[in-house]
Amino acid sequence: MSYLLSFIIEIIGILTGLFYVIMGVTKYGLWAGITINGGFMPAVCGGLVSILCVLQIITKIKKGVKPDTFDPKAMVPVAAMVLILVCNALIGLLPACMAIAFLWIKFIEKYSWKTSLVVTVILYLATYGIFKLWLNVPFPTGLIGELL
Amino acid sequence: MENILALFQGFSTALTPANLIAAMAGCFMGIVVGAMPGIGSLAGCSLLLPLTFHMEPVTGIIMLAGIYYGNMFGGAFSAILLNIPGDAPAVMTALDGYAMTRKNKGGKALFAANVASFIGGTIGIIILTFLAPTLAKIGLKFGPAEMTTLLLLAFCSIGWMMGDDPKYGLISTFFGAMLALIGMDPVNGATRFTGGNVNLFSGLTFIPVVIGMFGFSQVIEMFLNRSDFSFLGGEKLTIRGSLLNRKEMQGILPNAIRSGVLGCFIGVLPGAGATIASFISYMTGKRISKEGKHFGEGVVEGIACSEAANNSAAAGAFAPLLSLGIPGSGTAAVLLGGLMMWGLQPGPRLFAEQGEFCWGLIASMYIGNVVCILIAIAVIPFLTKILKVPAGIMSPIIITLCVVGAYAANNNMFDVYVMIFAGFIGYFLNKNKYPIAPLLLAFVLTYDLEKYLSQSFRINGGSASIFIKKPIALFFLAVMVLMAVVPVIIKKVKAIKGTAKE
Amino acid sequence: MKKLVALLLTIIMVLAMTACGGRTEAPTVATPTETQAKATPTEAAETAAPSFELPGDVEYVVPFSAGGGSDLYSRTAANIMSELNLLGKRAVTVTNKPGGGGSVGDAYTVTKKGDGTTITAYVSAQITSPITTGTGITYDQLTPICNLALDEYTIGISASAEYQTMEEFLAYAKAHPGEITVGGSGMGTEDNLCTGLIEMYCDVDLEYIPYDSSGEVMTAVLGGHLNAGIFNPNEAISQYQAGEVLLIGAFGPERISVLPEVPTFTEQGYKDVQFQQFRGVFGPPDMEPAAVDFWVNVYSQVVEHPDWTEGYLAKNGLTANFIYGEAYQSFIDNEAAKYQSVLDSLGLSAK
Repeated sequence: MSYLLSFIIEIIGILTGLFYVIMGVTKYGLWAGITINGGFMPAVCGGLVSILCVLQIITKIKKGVKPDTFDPKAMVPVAAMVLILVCNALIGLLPACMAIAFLWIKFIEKYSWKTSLVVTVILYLATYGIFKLWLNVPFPTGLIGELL
Repeated sequence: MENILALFQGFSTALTPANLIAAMAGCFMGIVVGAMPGIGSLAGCSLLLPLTFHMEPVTGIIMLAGIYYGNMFGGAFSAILLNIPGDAPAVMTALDGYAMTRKNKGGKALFAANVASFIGGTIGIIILTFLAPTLAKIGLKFGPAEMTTLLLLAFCSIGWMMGDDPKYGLISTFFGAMLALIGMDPVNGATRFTGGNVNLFSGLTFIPVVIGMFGFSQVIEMFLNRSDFSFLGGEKLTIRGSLLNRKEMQGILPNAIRSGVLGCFIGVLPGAGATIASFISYMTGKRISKEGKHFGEGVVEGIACSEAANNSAAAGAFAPLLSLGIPGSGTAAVLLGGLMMWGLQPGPRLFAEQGEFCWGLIASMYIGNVVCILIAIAVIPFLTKILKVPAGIMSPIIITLCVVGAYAANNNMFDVYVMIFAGFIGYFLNKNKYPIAPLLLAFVLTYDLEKYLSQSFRINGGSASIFIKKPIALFFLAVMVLMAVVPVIIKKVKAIKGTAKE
Repeated sequence: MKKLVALLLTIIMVLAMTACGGRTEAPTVATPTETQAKATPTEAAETAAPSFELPGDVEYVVPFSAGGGSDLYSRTAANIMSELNLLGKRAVTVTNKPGGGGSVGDAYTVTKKGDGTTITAYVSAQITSPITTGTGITYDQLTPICNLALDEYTIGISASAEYQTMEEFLAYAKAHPGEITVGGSGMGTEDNLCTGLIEMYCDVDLEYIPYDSSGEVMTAVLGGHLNAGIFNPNEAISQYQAGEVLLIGAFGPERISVLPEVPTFTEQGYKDVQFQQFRGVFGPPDMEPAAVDFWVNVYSQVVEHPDWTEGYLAKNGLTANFIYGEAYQSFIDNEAAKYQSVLDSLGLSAK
């Protein structure tokens, strides 16, 4: 698993590259009458990515590979983002961001209640003022907004 | 001489108190909007356009030009301080700018960016003043074949840019190209790789991808390796410490001047003018400048190249607008819309029929440039305070800006999903030492490359001979071959010399 | 430091001034036209207007990016609505949902089932896009409200070309089959349809080259990279007046108001070569008839306002065409059938 992880980018590159080549050649076509067809660029780019990734793997193996690890902590910010999306469906985008920002500062970074609140309020005022009031960005309001 | 006289008349138009205040307000708003990730100059200008409807035409267009200009200055701020380039031309600025911030030299980076923007912008406007019709004529010479070869040249130099092992840069480049191929193809309007999702029909939007790959991936990084981010919340950056010393100025000047001239000419070209300009100027600087080999590690010269070029390209984009009535960039198209709202008919006769207006606009660009640098320098002390915020509080702030910025790009939640996904990919690319800038540049340029390539073949009835028949295209091809061959020859020559010495 | 504060204050003041300026100016402009518009209400308005009240603020969806043609007419209309106070105490916000030739915006509108407060700009491209891509929201999934105007098309050639009239151009094209390039913006778009019509009914073989915008097409025509280009009147008028570009044919049934010297295809003997882009307004699926009538009433007043007739239509060379109800439905059906047949014969419709 950990060796697989060291080549993760190259493996994804070879797979997607081949997918692009196959789709380009079979589905979209390389040449149409007097000009390139929709499959030309995908086939060229996909092919080059696959070849380069194979070469890259060879170079890496020649140099000697160290097993790579994946720190599961990297998923914390991603989880925060997913939570924002969930909350967005309920209370709207800006409040969702604020809720997560507050929880992050308070519980992950362990700042005091006061600091967390002050930062969140300032952040809210700034984003609301610039994006919503001034630039009129129509943020989703969530279920609660729909009900009101 | 006539031009200079007309320009002075233009200054008298632009320097009335009302117009001056409009220029100041425009620049200030432009800087604020430009510094916000997600709202680029195009969206910024069109959102602020209605503000100017009730003004005199000259006042209105001066304010718009100020917004346009301010945007270019402001775009550097978030790139340097937060590593979130607001639009494509700022990607190159983020490379050296953020590297400087990490070295506790954020203040210097901001100063360098502003000085270079000012120099580049001024050069662009001077060229515009004297050569607008000539510039526009050069632009007309660029058909599909010329554009294809220019873009290929840009593509090739991406691989060239990445030091020892070009494979990293090249793989990243073609990943970017593959991402850009999702959506409507420019050849026959069919959709590709969309999986039937309507949000993908016109392809991924650049802003969410860039915000994710730079901004969000950095939050993950910040969370895992907090000690690398000790520059946040650290000691205060003093103004004195942020001023540029003589050596740095000497580094900025030649790079800014060269990039300014180059940028203005590239800015005339349609489409991705400013992006190609900042990129090609950066690459040229990397080759020619004394500090070239340190580009990307946080040197003022790198910032100077990219910032000077994109500001000067912004001025260059006005040449086809003023002398032909054809916008050279998306933002210029919005300005064109503004001109028509006031009943002005931009076109080949605009200079002859509305001389006062045209020269007023050009004069206001000089003024806007000066106003912008004054405002920008005045806000630097406040901006550097951002770096006093510790990483723990910075992360949720960046998360919020990423979400809000990605959403505001198209008012679409789908872009937020794209941003999160791009951030995750960006984290893995970073971890495996793949540079992200080539990916983003290829992402921006691929659509145009495919479009121009297909147009070239169509126009020439299916034969590739068009690339050799057109002298400009042939020239670019020759440069490309030289670029590929010369380093190999130099290596060989060095190797032979090496063995001879032994 | 003090200077900076002063500077900031001035800027805020200017902002406040411009904002207030906008507000105070609005009613003075509005009063005369308001009475004028109220004096000539349409039949639909008289009967239906009172029975529907907006339940909330209005979202005006524009499925194209800010600064484009659809954005322009929608914002003009929205500004008139607030100036004339047509929506009572409700506000109207224009939301750009660009992407996919209008399909992203339509996919959004279709989710607002039965909502009387959501309306969307609807133009020809939103009918052609599902035909060429084979997916997306088709026009019959949304509720037609009314049409506002028709946008005209012309074909232009460089003034230095060896052909100077339609006749010469077609003769030249017949002598060089497949070599004549005609540029337009986008594939499967209105510009492409126009070129297809010429090919079908003038019996020539042209090569259509898609560009991103009409500005790029104009640059290519002026630079001699293209033989001809398809333009909206406002995109070509300045070059035409300066003598850089010759406009040899208009696609409408009658000559274009801002370009009275340009002959139509019809008068030159090609009466089947006829195309106009409609610019209308649609609502989400299952919009109540009362809500549709409400909006028809609102628009009947919008199209009378000078900002619309003078500021938008005349300046951009559009033809007024306010139709609603049954007439609009059959108009849309006709247009859709026409696009389908041209796209079919061009081989552009998805299988």
